[in-house]
Amino acid sequence: MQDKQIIDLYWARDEQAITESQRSYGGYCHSIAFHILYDHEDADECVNDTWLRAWNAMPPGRPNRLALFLGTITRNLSLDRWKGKRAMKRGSGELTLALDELAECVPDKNSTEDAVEAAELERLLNEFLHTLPARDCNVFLRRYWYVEEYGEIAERYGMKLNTVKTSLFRTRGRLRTFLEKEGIVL
Amino acid sequence: MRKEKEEALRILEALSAVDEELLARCEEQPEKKVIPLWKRGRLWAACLGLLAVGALSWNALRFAGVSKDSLYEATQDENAAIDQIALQTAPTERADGAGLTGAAQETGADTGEAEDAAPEEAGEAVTEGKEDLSVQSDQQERCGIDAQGREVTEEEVRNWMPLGARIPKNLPSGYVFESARIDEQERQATVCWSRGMDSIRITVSQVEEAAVDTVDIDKPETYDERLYEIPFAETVPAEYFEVFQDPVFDINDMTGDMGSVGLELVKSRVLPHEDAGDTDTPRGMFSVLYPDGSDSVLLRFNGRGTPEEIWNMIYSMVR
Repeated sequence: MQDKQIIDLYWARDEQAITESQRSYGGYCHSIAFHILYDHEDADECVNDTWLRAWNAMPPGRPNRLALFLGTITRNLSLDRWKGKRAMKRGSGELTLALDELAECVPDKNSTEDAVEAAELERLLNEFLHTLPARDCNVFLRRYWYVEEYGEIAERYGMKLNTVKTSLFRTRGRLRTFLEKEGIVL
Repeated sequence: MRKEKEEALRILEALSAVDEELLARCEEQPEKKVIPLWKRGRLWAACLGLLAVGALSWNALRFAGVSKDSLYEATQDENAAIDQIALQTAPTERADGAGLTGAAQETGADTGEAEDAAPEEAGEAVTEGKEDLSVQSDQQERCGIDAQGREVTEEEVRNWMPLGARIPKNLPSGYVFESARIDEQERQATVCWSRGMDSIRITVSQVEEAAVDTVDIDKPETYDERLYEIPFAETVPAEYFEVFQDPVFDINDMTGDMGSVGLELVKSRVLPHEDAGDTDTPRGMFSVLYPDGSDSVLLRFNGRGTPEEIWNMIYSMVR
């Protein structure tokens, strides 16, 4: 079933929308959740919660790209669950590694400045991503949006593992420079 | 959690709001298969071997005075053998001559942490041609996403009446035709043009006038993006959100005051979004209704250009 039809089912409050979402995007959403949580049971729960969130969001929402809309919901739910698990010192996985890497991007602080607002940080990140060559941007997003492993990214784009690592290393360096230039405090 | 990790988590969470087009691009990026040099070598060796065999066979048969029919059969056998070998070896061969630098990509950098420019640049040279193909494929996929129907030429879509007459002719400078589709069942045509990394997609559909709600242009709060901050889902009032996402302007409203109204309406929907990078062209989306009862036409614009360029493109059709 096409996205438009699935969205129409949500709008019609037809529960078939959930079934069709699961059929079309269940695997996709599960993959996103699993990369973050590294636990199938937790990933399944996040995916189920995704359909509930989507049900509440449509209407009035009518996303242009349903896959990305659902994927973003799943990602946010997964991050929240991960934070909860982390507080209880449970779980592991690729996200821990990804966070260690992103810690390199945290700019040096000027203690007199206030931390940037979330919306502003989102805007700046978008601005930064648009400055990147397509390949570097894709690799960055696969690593830090989808939390994919280096090997998965290398296979996806037909790159060598070290080329992926080099690309990410440079992009993280650029991000740090960009955030420092913008005077960002996190 | 360590302080830096907490701050890194903020970055990770902020990435949830990344622009959809960037995510879609990394989703649609075709898998790039690197064909190792040794596989390319095997293919060439096989082809050369067959050519040699073919040449020897041809000469032998010619001098042996073999009939034309048996010669034809021999040629068919050779063709079948070539097909078989092609299936067994590399599936694709790039036309960009990347094989010359394939060895350079094979060496690569030894450590991920080293700022080693030479192998990376060699690798980039190999993938440069592939990225050109990828950009073309990306543009075509961007034009073709969600578009139904059969692919047609520009001439065919413009001649597909009556909708073809509503496809703009005065595209912004530098735009070239990319692709087009016609869906006879849905009475809809989609055309895509591109200018480097910028693109314009126009969809024209036959609609029933009474089935389309156009915005009240005296209520800018229902369509003017300049009045709200991103993310719109959080700033646009819920009662307007559905219309705001996809406003439809009546062409008769737009052409008021010698077209200045239309320009203002386009300015309210086509904005720069402060994107720095490979293209800073303003972008936006809106629809225009050409009312004519059951033969009304809905034109949907989605793409990049200055508001002046976009409005000129639309207005030139009705001036």
